[in-house]
Amino acid sequence: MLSKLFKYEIKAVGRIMLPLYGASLLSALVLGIMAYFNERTAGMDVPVATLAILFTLLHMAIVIMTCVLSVTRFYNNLLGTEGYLMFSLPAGTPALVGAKMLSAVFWSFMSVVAGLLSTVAFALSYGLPHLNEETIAALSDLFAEIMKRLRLEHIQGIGLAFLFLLTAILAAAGLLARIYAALAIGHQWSSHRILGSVLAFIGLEILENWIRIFLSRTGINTYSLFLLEELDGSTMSGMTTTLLVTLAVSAVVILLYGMITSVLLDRRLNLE
Amino acid sequence: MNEYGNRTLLQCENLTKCYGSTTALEHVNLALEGGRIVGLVGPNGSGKTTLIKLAQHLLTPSEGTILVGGMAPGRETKAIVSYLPDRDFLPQWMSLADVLRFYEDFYTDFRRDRAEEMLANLQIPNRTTIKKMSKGTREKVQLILTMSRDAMVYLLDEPIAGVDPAARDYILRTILTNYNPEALVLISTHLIADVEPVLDEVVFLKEGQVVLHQNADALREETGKSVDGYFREVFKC
Repeated sequence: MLSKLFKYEIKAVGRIMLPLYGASLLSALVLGIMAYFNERTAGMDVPVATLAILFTLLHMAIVIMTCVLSVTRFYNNLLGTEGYLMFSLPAGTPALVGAKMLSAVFWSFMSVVAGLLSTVAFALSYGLPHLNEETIAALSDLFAEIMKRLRLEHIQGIGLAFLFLLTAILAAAGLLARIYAALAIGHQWSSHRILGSVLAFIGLEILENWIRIFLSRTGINTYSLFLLEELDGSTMSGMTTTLLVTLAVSAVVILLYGMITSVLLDRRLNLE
Repeated sequence: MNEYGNRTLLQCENLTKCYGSTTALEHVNLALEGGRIVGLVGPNGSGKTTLIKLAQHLLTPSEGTILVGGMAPGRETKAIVSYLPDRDFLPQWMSLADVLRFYEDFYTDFRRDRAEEMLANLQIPNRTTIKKMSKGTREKVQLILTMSRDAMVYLLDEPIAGVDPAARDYILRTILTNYNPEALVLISTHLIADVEPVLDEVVFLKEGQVVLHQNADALREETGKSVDGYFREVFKC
């Protein structure tokens, strides 16, 4: 059931995000080509500047829409009128909440990929016409050097980078899980539910910090990522340990908030 | 006796629901069997929608119990209940084709061929989005989807409110010709005259309490009035 719910979430968000990704890629390509010709033709400054602004705005729109949709999809689809459809499905509440969370993580990742791809698209469309024997030789040397270092020295670093990316994704998912829990708590109010959700979010933030401070006094540092100087962050193993601790803490936070959200929506749902 | 017919499919015991200090349902005791079309009637605010939402687990009782097919409302009961809410509930961005796929994916008892046959009569192109449909068409589409399931219980909340008389006829015809005859059909409405001809039983709700639960024919015989006429007498302002 989770896979079906996830599929529909992907589709619902994709209809908004995919055109934005497409527009971003297209504007990057055109901007690169125009920037190349601008070096050779006079009078193209204004179109290039306009396109650069459009390119920037599209990237901002991708970031904003990724964040906004992560929250509004949960609120509108589960706690709004569409909730009458979703909560009538023969699916468990954890699956309904989990699909929203997985979708938000998926689209956040996709937005990062789209941003990188459009940067590459700009670089290619601007850079390819500049290619000559000299630049090709320099690039192939650079590529060979990268591959050599990858094989010999920095393979552990690459693994660490992936671990860092995973930690960042889970940390963001933890924040989202707190927002979902706050919305579920605010939903318990008979009126002014948005206000209730905002207050719940602040309350959860304070509570989470109290728990972290309490744990730190007992020797368990859950702030490890942000207090690198306290740990041995200078070595690979130190960094890996730091990231793994943060990863575990984020997983626990997501699990706890997910449980709060699921229990509230399952046992105290009030679609009015 | 068939699989569901004559078996209690909806049972409330001492069911109470409060919204803050307001009591929407108060100590309701009710047992409804399969193979019946039951009218849940009462004026606005009498607790009809609350009772249906409790049966569909969209609300939780403040006190008492409600059982659907012998089970507490939840994931299992939702697989056997086909529910039509009293408002637009389909995602506005979805096309008709999307909605059909959605129902087919999630409900194993959804009969797509039956839905398509009824939708063909409405002549709505499959690519039309819910947002672009008129209110009447949307309500018909929602009803068709609900009635295209071979459910054990149909919970229809105000299926004819807000549509013109011609559409009401269409909706009632759709209910009558498509429901699983072994199932329980619970129709919540305050437009009794329109639904009266199809009802086997009526439940009168007043200020959150069941004031009458009777066979529709017996009620007409006893009172010498139509159900609508008797309703007007009971709920006279």
